[in-house]
Amino acid sequence: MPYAPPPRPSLDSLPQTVSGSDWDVCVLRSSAQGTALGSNSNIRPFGMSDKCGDAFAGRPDQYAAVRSNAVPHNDLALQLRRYFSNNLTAVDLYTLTKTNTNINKLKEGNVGAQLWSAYVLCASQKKDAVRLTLEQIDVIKRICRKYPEFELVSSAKAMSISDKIACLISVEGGHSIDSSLAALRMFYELGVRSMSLTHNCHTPWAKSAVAGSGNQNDKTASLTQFGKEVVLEMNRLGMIIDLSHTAVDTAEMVLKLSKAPVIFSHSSAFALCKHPRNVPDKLLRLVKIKESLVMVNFYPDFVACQKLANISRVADHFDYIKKIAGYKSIGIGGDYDGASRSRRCVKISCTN
Amino acid sequence: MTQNTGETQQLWSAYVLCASQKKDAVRLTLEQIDVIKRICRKYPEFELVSSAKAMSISDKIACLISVEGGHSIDSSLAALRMFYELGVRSMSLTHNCHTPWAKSAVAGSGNQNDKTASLTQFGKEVVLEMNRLGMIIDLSHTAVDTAEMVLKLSKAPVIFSHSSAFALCKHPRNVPDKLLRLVKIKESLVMVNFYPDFVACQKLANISRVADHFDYIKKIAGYKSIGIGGDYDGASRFPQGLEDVSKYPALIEELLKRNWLEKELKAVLRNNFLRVFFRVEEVKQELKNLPPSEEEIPYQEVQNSCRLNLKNPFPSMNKSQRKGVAPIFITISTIITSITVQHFN
Repeated sequence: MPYAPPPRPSLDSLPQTVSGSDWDVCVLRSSAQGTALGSNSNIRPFGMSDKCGDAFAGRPDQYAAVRSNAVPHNDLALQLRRYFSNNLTAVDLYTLTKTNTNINKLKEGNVGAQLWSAYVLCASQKKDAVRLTLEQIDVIKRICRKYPEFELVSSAKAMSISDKIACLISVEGGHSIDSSLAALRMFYELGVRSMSLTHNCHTPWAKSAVAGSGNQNDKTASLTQFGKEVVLEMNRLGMIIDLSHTAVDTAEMVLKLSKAPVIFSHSSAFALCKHPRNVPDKLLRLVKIKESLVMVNFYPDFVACQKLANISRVADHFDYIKKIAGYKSIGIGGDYDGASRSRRCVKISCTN
Repeated sequence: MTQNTGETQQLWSAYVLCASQKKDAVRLTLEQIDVIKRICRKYPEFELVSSAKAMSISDKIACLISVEGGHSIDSSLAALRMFYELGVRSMSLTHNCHTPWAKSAVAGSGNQNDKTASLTQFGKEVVLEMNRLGMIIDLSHTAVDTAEMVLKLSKAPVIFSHSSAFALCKHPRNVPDKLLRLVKIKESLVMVNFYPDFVACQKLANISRVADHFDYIKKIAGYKSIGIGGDYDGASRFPQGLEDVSKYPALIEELLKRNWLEKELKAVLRNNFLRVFFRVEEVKQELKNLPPSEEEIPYQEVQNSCRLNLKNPFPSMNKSQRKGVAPIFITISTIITSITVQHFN
C-alpha cells in the first residue's frame, strides 16, 4: 500500500500566485482520450515545481515531514517515450530539463519513493498495448537500475526500509493486459504492483469514467464477469487496484468486491467539482469503510472545474475528503507530469 | 512442443502460432510462459530453473523455458529483455515464418522470389542482446544463411534445438555440413530431431535411422556437438520404437551397439547442453558492462495495422493535415457518394 501522508501543515503562508494555465496540447493527446494523456504525475510538496520558486526555503522541518511520506506517481516513463523513444543514453537524468522530473529535483523535493507509471496510449488497445507496456516496464527498470539513487522495490517492506528513492512500478490502464489474466500475472512477476483498471478508454470488461461520460447511449458494462475475475486475481496476486479513471459504478462494484483496500491514485472530490474523474460522496463513504485511499489530483479542471486554481482550492479537497472519509483515506495524487509538458508551473505557486 | 535435453531436464517451449505474428503474439507468448510456470510449480516432480548451475544440481525434472520463434518478441528488444526476466533462457530466432529481421528455413524454402533478408541490422542487435542477456540462441527453423551469419556473429555458442543432418535427409529444417563444421568450431550444439520427415525424408522411420544422424554428426562435428532434440508433442509422428518420452533408453541402447562410449552418451544426454549453457552465462559476464540495447527496428520494416505508430498515433487527428486535405477530400467523397447513391437507386 502506498503511504498515506499525515495532514499537511498550515499552507496559508505559502505563496498563492497562479500561473496562466497554458496546457500545452501534446501532439499525442486527443479529445477521444479524455483530458489527460498520462494520468499520473510527479508529485512534489506543495509550492514546489521545477521552474518555480522554492516555497519551502527556510522551512527545513516541513521538508523533513514530506520526505518520509511522499509516494508520488510519476509519468517520467511516458515522457521518456515521447521525447527520447526510451533512449536513456540520450538522457542525463540528473539534470534533464525537458520534464518535471529529474534526480536532482527529486532529491531537492525529498522524495522517498516513486510509483512509476507504465502507461501506454488507449489507441494501442486492440493493437500492441501489451508489447508497449513491456517496453515501459523495461524503461522504468532500466532507469531504476542505472542510477544509484534509485532502488527497485516490489514489496511494502522493501519500500519502507529503503534508504534510496524506492521505485515501484504501476500499469496505467487495464487495456495493457489485453484481457488476459496470464498477462496480468506476468506483469506481476515483472514487478508491477499496481494497476488502474481503465485509463480514458473502456476495456472489454470495465468502464472508464471519461470515455462514456455524458453519453446516454453508452451501454458499456460497468464490470463484467471477467472484470470481477481481474479484481479477484489482483487480490490473489497482491497487486494494488487503482480506481482513478474508472467510472463511478465500476468503482463502486470494485470497492464492494475487492478483498483488499484499493486506491484512487489521482482523483479529487466530486462534491467540489463535478468532473467524471472525481470521487462522489457515496464512494468516499465506501472508501472509508474499506480503509482505502483517495490521492488528491491537483489538475485545475478537477479541483476547480476550470482552467485556473490555487493552493486553497486544492486544500479544500483535502478538507472535504477528510470530513467525509477521514484523514486516513487521503493521499497526494498531484498529476503534474502526466497532464502537461508546460514548463510553467500550472497549478501551484510559481515565480515565472 | 518440448525438446528433451536429458532424462531430468526439459526445455519447455513457449510457442505461439506464426499466424499471431503482427497480431497478439506477445500476449499469447506471455500466456504460454505462464502455463509453463504453472505446470512446473504445480507438480512437485518439476523444478523451474533459470541458470546452468540450478539445472546441473537439480534433483528433480528441471524446467527451462524457451520461446519458439522471434515473432514472439514483436521486434522489440525490451520485450526480449522482459521475457528473459520472466525466466526465458532460450529463443529460436524464427519458427516457420520470417520475422521482419530474420529468415525462416521453411517459409522461404524453394521460393526463388523470396528476397527476405537473412539477418537485418536489427536482427544482429537481437543476437548481440541475447548474448548480453545470457539467452541461448536457437537456430532450429532458421534459414541456412541466417544460421550461418548468426554462428559467425554470436559471441556465445548456439544450439539447434531440434534439427537433424541435411546430408542424410535434404530437408530445409536440417543442418548442412558447412554449418556442422561451424558448429564444431563454435563449440555449439545440434540436438537431433526424431521426426521421420526430417530423419528419413519420409513418413516412417525407425531407431536405426535416427541413430544414423547421431553417427553422422559425430563424424563431421564431433560428439561434443550433439544433443537430443526429440520434438515430442511438437511433431505429429515419431519413429517406431521412439513413440514418446519414455523411449529414450531404446535410442541409447542403439548407440551403445554402435560403440558409442559412456562419456559420449553422457555428453549427448546432458553435458553438452550444460556446457553450452554455462558458456552462454560466461559470455553474459564478459559483456556485463554493455548497457541494454536501445536499438529500435525501423518503422518501415515492421509497420502493420496492429502496430501503433508512435510518431503519429492519431493520423486522423492531425490538424495540419486536415486543413489542406479535408476540403478537397470532402468534396470528392461527396461527389462519389452521390454518384453511388444514384447508381444504387
